[in-house]
Amino acid sequence: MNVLEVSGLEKYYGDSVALDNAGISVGAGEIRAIVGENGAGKSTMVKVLSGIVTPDSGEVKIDGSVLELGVPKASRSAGVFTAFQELSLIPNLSVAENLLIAELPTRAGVVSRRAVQGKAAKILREWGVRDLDPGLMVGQLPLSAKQRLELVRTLSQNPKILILDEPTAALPDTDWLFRHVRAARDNGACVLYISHKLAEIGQLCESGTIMRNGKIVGDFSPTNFSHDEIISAMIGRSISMAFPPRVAPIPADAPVLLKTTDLTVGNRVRGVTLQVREGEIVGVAGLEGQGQRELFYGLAGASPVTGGIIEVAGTATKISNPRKALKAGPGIALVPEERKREGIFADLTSVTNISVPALKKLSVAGIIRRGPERKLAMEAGRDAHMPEEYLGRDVGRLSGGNQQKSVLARTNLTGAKILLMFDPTRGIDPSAKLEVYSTLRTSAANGAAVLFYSTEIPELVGLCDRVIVMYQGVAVAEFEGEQITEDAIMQTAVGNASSATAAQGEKA
Amino acid sequence: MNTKFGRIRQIVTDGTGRAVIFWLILMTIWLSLQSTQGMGVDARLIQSYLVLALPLIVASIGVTLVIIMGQFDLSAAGVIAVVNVTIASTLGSWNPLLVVVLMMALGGFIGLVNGLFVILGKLPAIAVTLATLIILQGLAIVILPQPSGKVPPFLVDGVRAPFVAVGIIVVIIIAWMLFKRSRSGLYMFAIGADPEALHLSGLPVKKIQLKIFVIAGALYGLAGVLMSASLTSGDANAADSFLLTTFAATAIGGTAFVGGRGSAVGTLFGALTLLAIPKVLFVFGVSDWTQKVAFGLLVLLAVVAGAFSSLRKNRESMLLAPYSTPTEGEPITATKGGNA
Amino acid sequence: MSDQSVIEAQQRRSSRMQTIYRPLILAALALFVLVAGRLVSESLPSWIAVQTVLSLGMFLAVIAFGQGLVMLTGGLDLSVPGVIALSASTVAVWVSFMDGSLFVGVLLALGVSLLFGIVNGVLVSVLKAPAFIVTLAMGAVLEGFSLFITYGRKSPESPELLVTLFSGSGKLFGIGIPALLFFVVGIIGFIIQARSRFGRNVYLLGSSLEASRIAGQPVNFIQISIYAVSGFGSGLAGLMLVGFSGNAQLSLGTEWLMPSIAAVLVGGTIIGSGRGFWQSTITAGLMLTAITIVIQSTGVSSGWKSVLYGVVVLVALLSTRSDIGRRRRKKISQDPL
Repeated sequence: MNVLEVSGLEKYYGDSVALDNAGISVGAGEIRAIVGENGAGKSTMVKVLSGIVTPDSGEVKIDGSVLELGVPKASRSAGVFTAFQELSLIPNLSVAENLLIAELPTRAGVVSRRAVQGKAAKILREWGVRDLDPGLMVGQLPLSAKQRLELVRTLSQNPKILILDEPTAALPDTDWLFRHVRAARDNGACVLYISHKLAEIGQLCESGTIMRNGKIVGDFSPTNFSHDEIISAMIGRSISMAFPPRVAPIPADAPVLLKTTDLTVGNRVRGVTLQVREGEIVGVAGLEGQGQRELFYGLAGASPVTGGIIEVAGTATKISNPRKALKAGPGIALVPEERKREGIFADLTSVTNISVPALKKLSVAGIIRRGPERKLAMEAGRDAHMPEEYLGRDVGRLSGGNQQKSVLARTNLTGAKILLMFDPTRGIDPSAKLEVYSTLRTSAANGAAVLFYSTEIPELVGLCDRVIVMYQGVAVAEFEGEQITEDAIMQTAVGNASSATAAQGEKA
Repeated sequence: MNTKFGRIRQIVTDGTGRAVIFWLILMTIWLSLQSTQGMGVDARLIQSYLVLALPLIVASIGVTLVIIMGQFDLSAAGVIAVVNVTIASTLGSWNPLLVVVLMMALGGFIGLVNGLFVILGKLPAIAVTLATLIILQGLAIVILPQPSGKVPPFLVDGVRAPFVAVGIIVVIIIAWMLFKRSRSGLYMFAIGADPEALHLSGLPVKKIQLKIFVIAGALYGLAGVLMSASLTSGDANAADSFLLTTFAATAIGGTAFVGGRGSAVGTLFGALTLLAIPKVLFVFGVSDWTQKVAFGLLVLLAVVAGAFSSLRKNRESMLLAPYSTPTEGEPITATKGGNA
Repeated sequence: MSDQSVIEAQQRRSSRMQTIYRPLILAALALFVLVAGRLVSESLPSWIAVQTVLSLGMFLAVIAFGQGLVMLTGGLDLSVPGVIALSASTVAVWVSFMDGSLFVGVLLALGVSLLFGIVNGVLVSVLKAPAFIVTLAMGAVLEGFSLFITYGRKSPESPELLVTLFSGSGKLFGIGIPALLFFVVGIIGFIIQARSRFGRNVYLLGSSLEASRIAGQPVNFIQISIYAVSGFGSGLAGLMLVGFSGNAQLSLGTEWLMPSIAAVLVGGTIIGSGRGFWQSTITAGLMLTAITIVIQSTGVSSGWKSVLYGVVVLVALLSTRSDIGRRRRKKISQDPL
């Protein structure tokens, strides 16, 4: 009866549990939402179903037949197609080649550009994408286009089981997607819709499953649920305790530590003016790929700033590399976007990861004093809520949450007062998130000026004093205090002009 | 980029284009100096230059393929040495066509062994191919401790026949044009850029990787045949220089060692350039020590120019990607056209 | 939590494996090879053989140290033979033909090696040119310079002091000096790589260039220093080899390049990562040297020597691949961590 029957899935990565006796049953023509915090197991389950990850135990049945696990080809043959959160596109091939990668048309052994682009154009048109040139290199497309391509690629396979993992992170226009998902449903497909945007789920899905810590903890009905209840089930505690409150109000005379005027970074940041005062947490919101990264990295000296002024504690400064950023006035430190690639030193221990900024201080005649190093790292780790037993471990083996804590500990050691935090809670389990929030609050209370980008709007609502919304490289709205609401942010994030001008008006 | 300057800029920033230009400059210098010094420029001069270049061209292309795929292969020199001594010592009177096929098969087999260790054994390619290189070079010495033997005359004469060398080069260029648009070719580029993505799409990544190692090995085998024809006899140590020249040719040809991009045509001109350098130096009356220095400096120049320009390219392209306005139906354009 | 302590123990065991067990195993293997050499030659094992292994192992260690640092950060230093030739010919010519003092000659040789190491570093780090080719071409240039220095003169003699020190004729406590120096090199190398701030910077850079950059490390400077150190090491080796072999032939350095790379690889360093330990490199070098010596005494033809050497390297790679394999396997099936 049920198209998809999953039972008893277990998957361990070293010490952490990704899936714990997870099971789910979905029928044909059903759009099932799967919600859960990062680290709840949603992505792992998706990977198991797609054949990329082999579970330690468990079974998947599609239309009654057992699916061979760990073999992507088998999943695809069974009709399982997935639009991945980490897009599975190949950057140095064209749109058309990516679209048809599994079945490239050949004429005498050669994939003629015309043939493949023609076929691709047809497919794109069929799925209502009129503005994507099939000949373009995927690597040069904006993120929203890439996401749309990934979705078309999945939809065009006419899947029996359609899996969408966070499909709208960078998508400004969700109607297009919903239309096609519903059409697929009408054709008998069963859809798994993984998202943390509860509003969208309410619009699209008929049923929902909640995951936490690798387990299935319950079902809910998207048309009739309480926001708070769902979130409680997801994070295992009441939402009212989710965000630590502000300790004390920002003094009126708090100095502006960071100020930008008309900042431009290539074509990605086109004139952003903002400021952050001592003790303030300023949030940056917006769809992914709207220039947030370039803004943060430009301020940190990791991307070249092409125009505008940056003032650090009142002094106009040119920041040409992260080293200079750390030395500029009270210091600017960046908590980077891609933890694995830019944040941690995976093959080295936590102590080594954390102590980087203090190496000079800790050395005598060029030799590092290991006792004091360990002590310093322990203290910093403690401040970042990192359990002591992880200090000797290779950071690459830690969970996402602990990895991030090591990064935060290191950032603390830099002594920088201006903190740029780029989506610091991405891919982190709920309890670690709380600890990150607490670290954030403590830093601000100690006089740091924090610029904070997050893809989870509730975080912005719960932690920030002010929020700037970015769209296409420009700050299109700014909200303060009570004005900061999920709706306001979401509206302006998709470039809704009216709300933008209204907000601008208020700001002026 | 429709302006004339834009076009020129495009050619210069493209690795292959740069390699061709560099080579043309060298050739012009060489040939004009040759004639002004009364040493005569005729078809035979060019012919012997090309015949000499063939083995390096073919071997370097094999290396290029492996690099585009994101791997490493140091074993070319070893394969060539073994092929050379085998031909010279035992296959001297065999049917040349059979010799070619057999030696390419041998090379392919060695490539397969390399591939199995790297892909299935999960060992770093540089280490494995270094080991196989050492083993092969040793085997070559075992087979033919002293330079001797003879290469089938038909092979020797065949390669030196008029237009054969040019013909082979043309065939190579055409073969590359076809291969890079074939499924295997596209997959090769894809694996070099992102093997995960290909794996997610259900494609047999490991099989493709093995295939490329085998193709590269077969190319080394062919290079060994060509080298034997050029050398006319067997010498176990004669192939030693290939270890580094194949990589130099690849780099001069504009292929970066990062994987995901590159061009065999670029490598072809890189190899031609590499072999033109000694000729230019000779004509300049440079010999002995200055030759080594000049050779090294010229290679450095070529590589540094390449690095400098890709540095520029990378820095610009990422940040210049504009935003699109899809809801208004405007076509999404990229900053610069692709360069596969 | 008992789970935690199990994992803790695992982690401790695996890091001890890398830093203590593996080098011990390699050293033991070196000894074993020498002893097993009895099977192929009556003259093995012997004190002389041990000293030879230690001496040659020391030369190899000096070169492999810099090579190891370069490989940790994802590069390769192929200019080793060129630097050795240049350093050797500089000191030999200075002393023999220019009647200069050995002290100045040594300074010149080391200075020049350091200089070209820096040039390598600048090209690789600032211009981001591929290390493979840069060092390769630089090596050719340096070989050319060496030719220039020795041009037209008869082959220079090696300075006497160097010969005494490094050919094994000079002894301390009855043991050849180079053999004793093995341990000195081992200790100094360890202090620099594992305990010094410079060594730490190398590990950080190798583990993640991007993270180093964002954490405020002076990435270019560190990278240049690494190549400078490698150049210096090769220069130092050149001085030693001039003494050891009694001449300053240009081919002095060619036979040391591949073994230096092999020692680093067999010692378990993973190129372009933060994984690699000096103790393992130096003992791997020792083991490879021992194998070379034994193979030498078999009287087998030089061809078979190479074959055996290559097979040994492959076997060593396969058997020490436990951690390499684990990392690779983790890569394909994405870790959510």
